[in-house]
Amino acid sequence: MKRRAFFGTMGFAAAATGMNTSQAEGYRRCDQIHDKLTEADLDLWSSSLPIPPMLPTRTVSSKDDVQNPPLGGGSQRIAPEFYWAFASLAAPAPVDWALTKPEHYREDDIFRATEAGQPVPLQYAEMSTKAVVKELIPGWFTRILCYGFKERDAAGEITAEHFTTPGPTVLAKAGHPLVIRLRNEIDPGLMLDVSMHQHGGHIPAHSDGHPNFLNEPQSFQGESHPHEAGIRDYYYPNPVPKTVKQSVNPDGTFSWNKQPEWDYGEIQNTMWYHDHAEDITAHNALMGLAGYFFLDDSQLFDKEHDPTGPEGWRDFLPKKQIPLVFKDLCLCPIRQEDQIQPAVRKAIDQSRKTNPRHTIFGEARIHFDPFDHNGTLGNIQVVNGAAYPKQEVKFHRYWLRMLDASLARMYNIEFWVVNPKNKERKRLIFHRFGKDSWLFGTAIEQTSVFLSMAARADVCMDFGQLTSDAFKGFAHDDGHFEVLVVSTLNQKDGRGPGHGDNEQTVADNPRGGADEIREERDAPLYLMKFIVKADAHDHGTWPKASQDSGKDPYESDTTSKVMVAGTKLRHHHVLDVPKPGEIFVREFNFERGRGAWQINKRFYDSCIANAVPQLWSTELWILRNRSGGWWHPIHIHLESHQQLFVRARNHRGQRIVLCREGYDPKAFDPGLSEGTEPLDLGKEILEWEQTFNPAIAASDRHNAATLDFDAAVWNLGIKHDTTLLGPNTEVHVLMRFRTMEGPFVFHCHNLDHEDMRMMYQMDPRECLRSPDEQLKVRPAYWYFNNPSGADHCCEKTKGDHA
Amino acid sequence: MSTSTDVNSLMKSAAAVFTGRRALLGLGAAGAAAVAWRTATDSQDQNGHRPQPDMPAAATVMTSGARHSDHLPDLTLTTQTGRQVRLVSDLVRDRIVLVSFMYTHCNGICPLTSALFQKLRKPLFEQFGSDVRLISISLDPITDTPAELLHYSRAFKAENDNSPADGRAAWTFLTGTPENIEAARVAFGYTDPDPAIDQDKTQHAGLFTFGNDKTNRWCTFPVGLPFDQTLAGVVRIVGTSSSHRYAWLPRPGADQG
Repeated sequence: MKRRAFFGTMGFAAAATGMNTSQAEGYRRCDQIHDKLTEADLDLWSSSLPIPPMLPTRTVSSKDDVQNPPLGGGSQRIAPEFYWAFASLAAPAPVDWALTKPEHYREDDIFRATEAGQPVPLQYAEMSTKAVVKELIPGWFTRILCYGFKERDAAGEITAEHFTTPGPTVLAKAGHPLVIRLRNEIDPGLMLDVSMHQHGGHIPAHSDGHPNFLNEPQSFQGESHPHEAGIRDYYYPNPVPKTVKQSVNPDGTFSWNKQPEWDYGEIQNTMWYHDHAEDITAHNALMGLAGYFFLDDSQLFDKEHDPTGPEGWRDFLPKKQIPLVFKDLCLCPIRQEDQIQPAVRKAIDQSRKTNPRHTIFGEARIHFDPFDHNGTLGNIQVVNGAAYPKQEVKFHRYWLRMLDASLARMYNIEFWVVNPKNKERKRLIFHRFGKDSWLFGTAIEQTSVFLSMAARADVCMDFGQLTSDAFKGFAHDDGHFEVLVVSTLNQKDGRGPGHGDNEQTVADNPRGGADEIREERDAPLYLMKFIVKADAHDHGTWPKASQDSGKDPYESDTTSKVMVAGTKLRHHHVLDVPKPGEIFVREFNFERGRGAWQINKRFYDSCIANAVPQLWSTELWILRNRSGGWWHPIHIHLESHQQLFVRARNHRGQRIVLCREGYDPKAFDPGLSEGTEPLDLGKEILEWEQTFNPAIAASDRHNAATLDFDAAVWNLGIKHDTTLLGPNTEVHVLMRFRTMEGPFVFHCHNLDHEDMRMMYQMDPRECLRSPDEQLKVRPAYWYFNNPSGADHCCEKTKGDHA
Repeated sequence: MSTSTDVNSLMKSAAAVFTGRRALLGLGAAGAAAVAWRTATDSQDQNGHRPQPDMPAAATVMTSGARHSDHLPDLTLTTQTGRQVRLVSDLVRDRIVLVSFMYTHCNGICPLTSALFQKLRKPLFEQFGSDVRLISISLDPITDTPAELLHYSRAFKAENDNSPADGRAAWTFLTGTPENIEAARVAFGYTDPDPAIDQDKTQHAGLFTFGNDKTNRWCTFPVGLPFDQTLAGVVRIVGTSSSHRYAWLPRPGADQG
């Protein structure tokens, strides 16, 4: 493989290029940078797919189990909701935390699993953020930010540290509360605050990772702190929310009521966590602060008497799991020896000592431009923190949990089997059974998955299909197959797909979606490779081999039943189609304004609750993208939302209109038929059905657009925590507000846009109010190191309601 | 610069401010913090630099050779007094700067931006002394000659391009060749992929970019946020210690200017 000139034996012979070159180049998008690493600088498929370690947890049964400081004793304390159930385990709560007042006492709202008639005890884990040096590309050392944990012996001495990107995988159980103590151990000189957001969960505002709820750096030289600094105890009750129901009162008004039943369908499945600190989210997430957070509910239910779905549906889920976190990076080599970071030099020296034969090229930094707010793209594709890795698998079924953790890149993921003789390519078929945090009601068959930023996809991939006649001749001489994971969406611009080199390909593609057109116009991005063989070492996948026996607990996944299109899975509580006048409607227009990003012509304001919904109610939210050619994946915190109506174009320029049966979008948005793009709903829906009618043969359907609101997926009433708004898109969603009071944020998940203030706050409250009522809301800073700040309330801005 | 003994005593005073933060969060917080700080720093060096009591031993950056300012063009520009300066080596390097784009004949957003800068000068000077500098770059260099900028800056008592005045941070207005102005605009990201919007000067005057070159933290804010959020945000991002960064939480209901 061709390599560029690299450093000499010591590794750092000063190259001719340096600061002057980069200055001449300016400091802009990755594709404008000359001196960066490219695919040609590394061996594709040489490193193994890293699997992040599991975060170890322990049980807390008395106050003494957590010390220095006790629970809630860190500088950022613990959620008021924690005291509902665990007051005896924590440092005393500030007396005036509103949520501890009797009228707000709602312990029964949080579901807790029981064992032997008693609620399950609290689980506890510690995690830290740290700047560490990693070889993201073999031979190139890069200083990044990681989540991680430390192993300690009985005496409390640290025996091992595990700092990785993605961070440790958190595995929690539904109904089993967990506290994660996060210490910000990033070198204080870097001045980096962090805030860990659990994306897709249903958790107290204090622990949600609100952008203003910062964990400050742990210590500054010479400073002492009133509390243990940089510590926040994140409380994850992993609750099952209660269901809500609307009733119309005799006088024609309506009200929403909390029901006694638990909404089991809301139990999350594939969540993740990432940094969300105000103004620096994009930087911190790009530098590596992200990880998986899985919830397991299997222990809640007796398989034969599962209240949430058909009997035994969990048997269809493959036992062996492979987490795949996709991300793109731009890595620039440091060409001058005197510019090498001390920390990096130390890591290089250490590596040289432990493995003298290891080839070392030098330091490469992750490029991040704080002056570019359009969306950061990279040219190197990494999966689980390794560039172009490989993973061995058997001819078995695997549960692939996929996540787009990029700042601005979207993916259309396909699995290509390549014939070693004639390079013919064929796509594998798989079954998708989840989007974002939630499992589908019914599995669907697909050959590609569209992932926008922050979106997840749960997929059952049966590599056993390679042994069928369809793949005759695709095996290599020794009988193994190679499966390339590619993205057929070669995005060139931070604005989103459809800009840059492939501009004409998307706008007016007369044959919309046909493979040959796509492939010739959108050169695929290679992401990783699966080596499929009978004796594969797939111990790297999760769950890992038991440490006791060293044996693979899922040596052969013959236990899972074969998932097919239509396999019934999780039962969801699908909300009724709303009627005009019976539901609060809010409209949010996502726009570009004054050189930055706005919602309803406002910038994010940490002291304003832009929406104050009633707790336990449901509202209709109209999300509109009015920013021309920009794409905005809108992430709403707190819980899932259900889509009612979608008017969009997909990434191939095809018009998509979707509408739930019985829903009249024009009744809620009279402007829908006006404006620059007249909308003939009848015609457009017809157009959609011609393309996407499920009656169309499966092979054709695979060629159809697969936006994440694909009809096949969408019609199942599935849940989203992130709804993609393509150019000029309008989406109507039903949003519930349950269990927790705010503040929570909702924002664009192109994190550069979010940092540039395309973000709003909502603060669900219990007391009844009319939309016009002025209301005092807790601003974000109410929690920030200022628990006695009862007076620190903002007036809700009148008229800001929708 | 101060001796190590000074630094130690100053650290202690900084810690006292930090400890007492909650009490100070009342209306007098900012003033009290500044008073405590001043008491501890009764000396200035001969250049008028205030020592940095809260500065940790060494501010570090994520990766060497990667200070964001390394990638800004070191353009030669002209101040309101006609002085030739270089953007990076004279103004940005090792300093705290706030940068905005404006033009003197702008009737839209620019006056708000300038008013915000004027309002920020005093509290920022109290926090950072002469290490902080405000920079306004004209997007209309043909009209905005140095004389024109000097006239404009007089309205803000900012006619001295290089020194703090009346306890207010220095404010430098810049003009230059159209090519250099364009290069500065692009370098700070005041651009739009849509050519029509890109050429609309008013689109670029509603933001300001600020950073601390030593800590390599930069950010861009829109003009028009409530003033206390703006000030707290700036201090949090460019500050160099907990005392700096978290003492000035925005107080809702305070000045919403």
